[in-house]
Amino acid sequence: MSPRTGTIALATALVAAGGCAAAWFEVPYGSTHYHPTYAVRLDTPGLAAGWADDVFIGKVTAREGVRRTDGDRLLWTTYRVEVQSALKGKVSGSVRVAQEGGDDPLRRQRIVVGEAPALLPGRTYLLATRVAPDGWHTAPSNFLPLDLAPDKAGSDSGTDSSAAWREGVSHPVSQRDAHPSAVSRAADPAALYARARLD
Amino acid sequence: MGRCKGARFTRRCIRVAVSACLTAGLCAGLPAPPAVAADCPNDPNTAGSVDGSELTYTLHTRYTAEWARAREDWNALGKVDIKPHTGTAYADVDATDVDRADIGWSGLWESHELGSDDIVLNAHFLASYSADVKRGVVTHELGHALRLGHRSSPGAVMYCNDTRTAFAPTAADISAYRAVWGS
Ligand SMILES: [Zn+2]
Repeated sequence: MSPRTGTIALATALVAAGGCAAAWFEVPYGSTHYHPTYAVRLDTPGLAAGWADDVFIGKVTAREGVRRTDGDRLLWTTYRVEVQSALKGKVSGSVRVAQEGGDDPLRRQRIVVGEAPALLPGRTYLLATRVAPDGWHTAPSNFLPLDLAPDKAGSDSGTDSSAAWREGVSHPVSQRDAHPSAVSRAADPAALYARARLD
Repeated sequence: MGRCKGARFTRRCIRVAVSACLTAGLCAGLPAPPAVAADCPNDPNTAGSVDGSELTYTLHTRYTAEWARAREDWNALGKVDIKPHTGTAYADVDATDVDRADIGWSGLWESHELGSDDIVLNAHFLASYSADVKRGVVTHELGHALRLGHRSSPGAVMYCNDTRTAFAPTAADISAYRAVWGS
């Protein structure tokens, strides 16, 4: 049992005896910025395509909620995304995408990690992601999702950005510290993709 | 001593109440997007993790040698005493490791209203870093715990990317430290 899990177990009896959760849930959210130091750069299409398992256009249809990993140290917000077209990788269909940070109901904190804006349901984005064993495609905090105008979404023609991304995918830039992804090391990559599928 | 002793009961209470919700992964509500910046500008200082003039820590990381060097470097500046946590209350900061290939960061400083702040080190990157670069990452995160924000110069240990050329506090970092904590 981890120390944090132990803390929760200890508190079970306290809650049963007293019950303090209701008042806590009325406390307004504060805001906190987590400060990362980055090992890879993802700020050009070539760099992002070189790092990502998948580069794709997808419509965010719902925000699912928040999840925690790594002994509660990391908090994620997950979304349902309908893949419209893939420029790189095997992503398809309806998938779960996660971003770092979100609203932590436990600490009543809005956690902001890095500079990437939160995805908005109803919007269509170009995303560069890696598949996480947790069962989602991670859009990392140093990748800025490209918000596509509704009339351009799904289109593979025309815009400067789509041309730049096709060029980036065709000529990905490798980085010294962009170590292999879980997909590239997996004996059965399809199983990792399957865990991130929602349909 | 650790902070928020009075809040510990509340925090523990709440953890139980929401744990089922967290496990189910369905606690809702998220923010509008923040402003976007692509490079590494000079940042405002952080809230830090220091309590008075002490910064107590617990280590659940394999990078203890790098931590010891970072602690020594910052302690040499004389204003904040970084030292192991003792006693029963929360430490000011807890260091731990993850191993994730799906994120771009090697280190993360997390500020929490309740309980210990966290420094999270990503072994996915650190495992292959040289001793100097690892030391730079740990020194950087400990710098955030000392209230220092990012510096735009790659020659500062508080530069936001591991391409930094400093692995210990340099003039820009020391100046920032002095501005916060005095000479
Ligand atoms: Zn930083």
